Amino acid sequence: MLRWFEESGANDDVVISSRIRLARNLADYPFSPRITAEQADKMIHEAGRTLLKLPAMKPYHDYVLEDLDEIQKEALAERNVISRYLLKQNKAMFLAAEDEKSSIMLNEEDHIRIQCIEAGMDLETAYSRALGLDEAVGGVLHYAYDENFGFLTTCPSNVGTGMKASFDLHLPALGNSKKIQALISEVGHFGIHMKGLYGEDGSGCGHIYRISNQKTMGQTEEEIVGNLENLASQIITQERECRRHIVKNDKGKLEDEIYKSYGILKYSRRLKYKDAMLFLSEVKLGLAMGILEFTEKANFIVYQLMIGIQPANLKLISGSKPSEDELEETRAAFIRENLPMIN
Amino acid sequence: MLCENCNQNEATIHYTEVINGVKTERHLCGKCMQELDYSMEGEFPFSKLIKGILSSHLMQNSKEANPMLHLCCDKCGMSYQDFTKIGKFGCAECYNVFGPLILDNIKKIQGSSTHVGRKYQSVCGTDDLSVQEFDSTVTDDEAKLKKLSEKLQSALAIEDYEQAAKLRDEMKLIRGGTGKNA
Repeated sequence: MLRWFEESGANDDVVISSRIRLARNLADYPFSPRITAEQADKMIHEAGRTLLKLPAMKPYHDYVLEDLDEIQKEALAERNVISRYLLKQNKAMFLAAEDEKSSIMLNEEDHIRIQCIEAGMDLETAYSRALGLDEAVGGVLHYAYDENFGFLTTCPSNVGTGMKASFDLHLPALGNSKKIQALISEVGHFGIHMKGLYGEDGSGCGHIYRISNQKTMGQTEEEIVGNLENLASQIITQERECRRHIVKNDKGKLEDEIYKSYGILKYSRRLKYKDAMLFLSEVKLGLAMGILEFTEKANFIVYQLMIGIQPANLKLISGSKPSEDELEETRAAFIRENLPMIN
Repeated sequence: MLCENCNQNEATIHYTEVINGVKTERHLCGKCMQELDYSMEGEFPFSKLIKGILSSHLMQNSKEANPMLHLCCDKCGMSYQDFTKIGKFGCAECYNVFGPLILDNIKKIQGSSTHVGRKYQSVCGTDDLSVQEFDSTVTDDEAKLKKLSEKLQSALAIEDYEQAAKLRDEMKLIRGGTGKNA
């Protein structure tokens, strides 16, 4: 079964994934700032038991956070199955589908966080799946809801629909130009938040950026989805234009950079994280622009290598406590073995 | 420039914070930024804004010994002071206690203070937020069945057979549901 980051999708020359997240609290428990460890424990097990009885939950596996080791937990967060917030919780549980496209977290900042991810640009599918889950969950658990405020979330920044929609975008051409900073501040005027997804300071390592809605009230879910899609389309157009401009200016230089990046990834014996992300970004760009073509596994998704070399996912392969050199060697070997051959 | 929090790493994030009208330049490294919990989920400017607005509200009011300071949520014990400090609600009832006070602030930040999205109809009972104490077991199947059966009776009484069939299915689900994945 393919996971979302191993699948291709619409507009995937730029859009990596589409995600919907719904925040819900239960009416009958204190919210996260006031819940005790005992209450949290009771809440996650009761809610978990109730949810597992739902027919919709048949393909889901349930995990108690305490039962997982640190690296497993981190790796799940790197793959977006659970949030970083959940990792810090003492008592928490989550249900996840095998393809990791849907998950339900219990005792996050809100009691329930429903999350659905799709490959490429397909917020509608993600939303309709999240809606289906929300109806099933809300049918058996008593949500905290108010006619005026909507879904009562722990933080006022989520209240109303409790919904955050997001796209992860690969923007190497915009990212290499000075335009990206202007774009980041510009989208803020439209109630959209944009940030680099990787790198310590969100600097946009690998040129992957996430855009998401800030406002959760005063708009319907469909409007939120529509607005974000609209803005994403404009960014996609800008990125494609920027790519065309680079080709027009100096195609030879671009090809050289892309082939060199491929060569380094395919033959290196040690690779630093930042370098690997940068070269993978170049190769991804080369494939999207038709400069590179894989001879085997033609539809191979390069983004899965970016996920695979995140620190915890890499440690799942290398064993628990590698030295920095060993980690660089494992990283290089992992990419060498998995990156398909080109013409 | 070094990070003002750890004084070790190069500061890569620079921003201006305005709290209670006092402007402060902040310079942090990525690691401290994350640790200070302005992290990953991309909500930093928003939730921070709310906290800022709330605490400035509190500062203004405390000078006049505002009666708000005695406000406290009966259900979870959240005080007005705690609420303005963390900027988060402690339970559903908190929305009744503190919600009206921050309607304007929600409007400022969200652009609206009225929910127009999907509505929620609980099958587990009414939406009266102050009905139960926290230690009761409301997800109890028996209680749910009882409520559904009452609804079924009234649906049958008004000959709403479509609704009755739905309710019967729901009851069947609860009775027949076994934890396959558990």
